[in-house]
Amino acid sequence: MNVDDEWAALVTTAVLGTDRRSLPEAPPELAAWSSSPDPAVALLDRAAALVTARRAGARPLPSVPRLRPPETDARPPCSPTAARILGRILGRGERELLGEWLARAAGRGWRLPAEHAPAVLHRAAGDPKLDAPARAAAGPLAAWLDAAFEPDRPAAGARATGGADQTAPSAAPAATPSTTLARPTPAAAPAAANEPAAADPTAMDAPEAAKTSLAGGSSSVLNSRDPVEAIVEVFASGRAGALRGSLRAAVLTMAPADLLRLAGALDGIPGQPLTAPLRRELADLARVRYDLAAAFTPEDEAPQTKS
Amino acid sequence: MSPPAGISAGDVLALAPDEAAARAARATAVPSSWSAAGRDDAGAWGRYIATAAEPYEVAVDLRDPAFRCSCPSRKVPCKHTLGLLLLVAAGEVPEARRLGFAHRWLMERAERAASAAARRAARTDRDGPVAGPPAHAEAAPAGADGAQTPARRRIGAGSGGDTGPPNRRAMERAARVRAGLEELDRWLADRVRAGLAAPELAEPATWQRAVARLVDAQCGGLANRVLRVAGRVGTDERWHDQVLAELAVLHVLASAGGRAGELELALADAVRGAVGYTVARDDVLAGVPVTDCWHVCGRSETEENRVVVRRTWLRGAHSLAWALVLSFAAFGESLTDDLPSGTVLDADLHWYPARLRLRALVGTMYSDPRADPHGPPPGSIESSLAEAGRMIAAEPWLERAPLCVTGCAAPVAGGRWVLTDDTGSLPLALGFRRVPELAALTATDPVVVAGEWSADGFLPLTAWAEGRLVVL
Repeated sequence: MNVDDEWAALVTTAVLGTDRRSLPEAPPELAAWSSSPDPAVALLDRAAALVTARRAGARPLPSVPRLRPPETDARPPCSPTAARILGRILGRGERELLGEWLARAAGRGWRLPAEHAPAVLHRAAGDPKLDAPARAAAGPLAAWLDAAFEPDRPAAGARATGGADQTAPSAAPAATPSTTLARPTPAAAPAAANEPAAADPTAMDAPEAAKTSLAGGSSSVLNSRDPVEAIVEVFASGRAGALRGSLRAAVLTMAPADLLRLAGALDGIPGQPLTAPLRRELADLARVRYDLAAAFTPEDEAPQTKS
Repeated sequence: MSPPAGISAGDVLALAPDEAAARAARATAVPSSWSAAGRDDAGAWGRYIATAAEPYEVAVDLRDPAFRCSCPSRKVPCKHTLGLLLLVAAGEVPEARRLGFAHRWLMERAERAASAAARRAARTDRDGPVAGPPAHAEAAPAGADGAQTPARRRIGAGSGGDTGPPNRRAMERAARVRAGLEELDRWLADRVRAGLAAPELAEPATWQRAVARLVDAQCGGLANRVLRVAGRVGTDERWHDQVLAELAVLHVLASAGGRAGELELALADAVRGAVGYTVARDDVLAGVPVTDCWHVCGRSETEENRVVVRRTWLRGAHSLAWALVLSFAAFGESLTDDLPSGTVLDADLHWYPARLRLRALVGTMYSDPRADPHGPPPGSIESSLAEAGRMIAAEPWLERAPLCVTGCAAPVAGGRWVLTDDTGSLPLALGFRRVPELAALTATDPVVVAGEWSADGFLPLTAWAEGRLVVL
């Protein structure tokens, strides 16, 4: 008896129904399973035996040759904490945070966690600020994923290999301009790592618009010495809702040392149920950014909060 | 059992802790202040929505009076609880399926009562020849046995069949289950007689009928299973295959469940479990445990009837035994995270009675869960699938078997991917959405992957790479 043929015959009968199509005679191995005179019950009896045999006896498919692995990436993997925070950032969606993560990882000379590479590359694709850093962080894996999942993709991978077409094995588009960012010289790496606040890699991305719009208007909040106080003042003055975008931008560019204090201050603003969701949102954002900075800072030099 | 079980407004107000609560209760006893209020023969529940931004969740155990309300009042019962009972007394609360929070609370109470009854019976056993509870006394009826607390106040008079001896009720339930299974088997044969291509197979009403009947017969496990099969109709070009296979498995359970008494004990336990009998937690914990260092390999969740079911897979470092720990939460509520994926813990595990030692409870824990950088010991694809096959042979209705292998993702024809090693390949389940992530993880080297094997293929849940756990 061929189990698969027998099963196929039962499926054909079951689709049409035993009222319309007679049940084929049972092979001797199955005869004992179908004692019922009712052909519908007999079919179920036999099907049960076959299903169990097929499922319990399932064999693996043949081995498959694996794809050729990507070129070796000599950079160390990022820390588990940094990988976790990247997962959080991808779940939230702020491009600025992703940009900051990539810049900080480049500063440490860490490669992208492999499981996040598809989502990061997808998110960054077509974004002029993110695409190159994302591909640099993914390293040879970026081109490997293109080849595996987007063979038609004409974008960065092809450009890079095309442009760099010289000696290197062209499978790895290692020649994106920013690759140098990802491999800092031994001297540069510790410097970047040791000064997370001062050398904030996102500082260059700081949207000037945010500052001006917060600074404009009746009270020049950003002229205030302390950005945390400035944001608290905006809430006190009742303009927080209108300035939501600027407030977010301010949190996204604030020095890491101020972030926890800001989160605490936002939690502490009393009453005002209308602005509670915005305060929560900004406090969350501040905490994520703080954790992000901390994840890239050696333990003994975590960002300090001003008391 | 229309008009409610002999509960009068007077009975209800007599429960009020003070006069003020009684007065306030009348104000809450307005049907429009309630959402999803319902009752069955064991309890009543509802969400009080009139004043608070978040509804208060109220539940009452009618058999052995107890009250639960999420309001901040310290009065027990509070005005919301009393208001709900006044509505019950007024006949304003229909019979309904339990809300998730009420279901869990009532089940917990029933289980506690059942284990108390079992302990008492065990004590009595030493003293004299008194029949203990049947081995599979399922939680609800046993817990509903009000006889253990004769001094307690009861709401209303005897409310029907809950005063008989436990054995009689167990027999009544067995008869109900048997009748339900016979009807299921007839329904299955009808489907095959009319043909899977018959239009009624695609009609939800056809399936609802079977489901409702199984729920009536207290075969909750089978009712959910039938719903899952219904969900497969017409999903892809191979659905006839899959639906016939699942109907055949239901046929096995329907016929085996109808004659569970004739089966060998472990098999009978397994069949009862699949049909929907529950075993009291304390009875499971009374079994002999296996002590080991357990890797928490991964977990998956599904939602059924607005209840979230979480399956957590454990594997013993020394015994190499697999264990499945189930947890439940009402939809929208969160499950406790006491067994995080990617940890190990030293603990006793107690198995549910079944032919296959798989479903288990964690008993004594000798350590807190700690990080597990390398994961459980993996097997080859061939040997792991053979082990899964042995599990399915022991209990052919098993829907998911655990696998832990070292492999690489690789593409095959038709844009599909498999997980492969040099002993073979596993097709990835169609529902697995994170193929690129798995491929990226395994691009350079094979990694340890744990997941569930089912008729749909392999569903990876976790992987260990670069010295850390990755949840897929």
